[in-house]
Amino acid sequence: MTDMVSYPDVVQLAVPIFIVAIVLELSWIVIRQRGGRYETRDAVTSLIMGAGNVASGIILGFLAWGFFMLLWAVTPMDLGSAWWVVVLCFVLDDLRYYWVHRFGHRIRWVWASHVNHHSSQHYNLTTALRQTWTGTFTFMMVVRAPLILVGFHPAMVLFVGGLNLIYQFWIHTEAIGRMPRWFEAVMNTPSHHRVHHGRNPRYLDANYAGVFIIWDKMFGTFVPELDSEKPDYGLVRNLGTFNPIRVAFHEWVGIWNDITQPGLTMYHRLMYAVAPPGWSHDGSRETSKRIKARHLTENPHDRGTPGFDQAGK
Amino acid sequence: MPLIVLLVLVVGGIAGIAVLLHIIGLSKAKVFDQESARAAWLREWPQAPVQDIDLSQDHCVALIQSTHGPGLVWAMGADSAARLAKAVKISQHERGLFVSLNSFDAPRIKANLSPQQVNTWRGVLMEPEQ
Repeated sequence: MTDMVSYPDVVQLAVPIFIVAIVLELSWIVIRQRGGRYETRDAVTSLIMGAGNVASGIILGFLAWGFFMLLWAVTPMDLGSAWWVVVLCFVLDDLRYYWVHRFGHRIRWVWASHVNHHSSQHYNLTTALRQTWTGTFTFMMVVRAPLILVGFHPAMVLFVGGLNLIYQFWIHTEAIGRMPRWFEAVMNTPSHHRVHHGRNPRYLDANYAGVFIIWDKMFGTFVPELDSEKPDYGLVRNLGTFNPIRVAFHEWVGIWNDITQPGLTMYHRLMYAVAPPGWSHDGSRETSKRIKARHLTENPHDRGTPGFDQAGK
Repeated sequence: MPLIVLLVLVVGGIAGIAVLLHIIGLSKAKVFDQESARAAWLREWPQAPVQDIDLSQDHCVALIQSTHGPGLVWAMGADSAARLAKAVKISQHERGLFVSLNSFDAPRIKANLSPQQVNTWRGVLMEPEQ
């Protein structure tokens, strides 16, 4: 067993780079008068959410770490720490990220944590840092269990997860149009990820990739950015507050309010926690599927175009 | 990285970027005209067409009368938010009204209104649901 494996906390080390890159992007936008937008309160909220994410990792990280080390203690597998093992771990962890991210948009319990990343109406490098404070409570750490059970050391798994997060920083920008075609084909890029942050019916539930966009192409969730339809960033129902506490917890409060309504069956209460965002027991709200269907009713010519399949989903 | 260095970087970074953004004029609130208020409403409530719009004195808030009932559009920095106004609580301030939406993610809106608008908005927003 490889017990003494140590990797740097790359996310903490990247903090100075994040700050410099934000100043550079802002300078580019101000000087060139294009390539994105900044607004003070929005940016500050995003940055505070990022700081809170680091703090919650320091405070609650021991829970995930304890779980991972428990798995490491019981697994007979150990792949070691050769460079190719790290590379393999990075790729498989990116596949793990794809599914956790997809769950994050399709299961309200997980969305309650992830929603704050989408709560900015801007799309710039500060948006990348608008991260959750409540990820631990989604229990999505279990999706990392297979990696550890097949023999990747927990420290390596967290290391490549940090690299994944750092990769995703630079794609949160409008200052870059499109990358070379070969790069766009394989990697997640600003263009692909702008789609993911779009609230346009066409762009909902698309492009969950972290590093490699191939997962979306493999699993049928890829939607290209159309020159004819600029992404409209934010939530279907945008927040009316910049208060970081409210940003961090609003969907959890929403779940609580919904499941404690009087007169619901246990099934309804459960569905308010685990059904896709927008589900309601009386059909009074809209899921992404219904939003797309309504869009196609009003715009039938969009049927079969990217983001809308022939069946009207 | 030592925790104290991380703390200084994070606090200094946030404060520095905030000051920089404010100095270069990126703290201005969005102001609406009739058309942009209508667009901001329909962006969030496309299924509730607008029947009437009344802008606050500073044009940062708009009272919307829609087919689904009254609602509000207001500036969120350079952007906007919009909500149907159901079960709201209203209180007065020197220059208009506070509207509390009974919503954790959109708690309270401050609208600067003329005395006549105060009465009109109060009447529309407090009207019992049909």
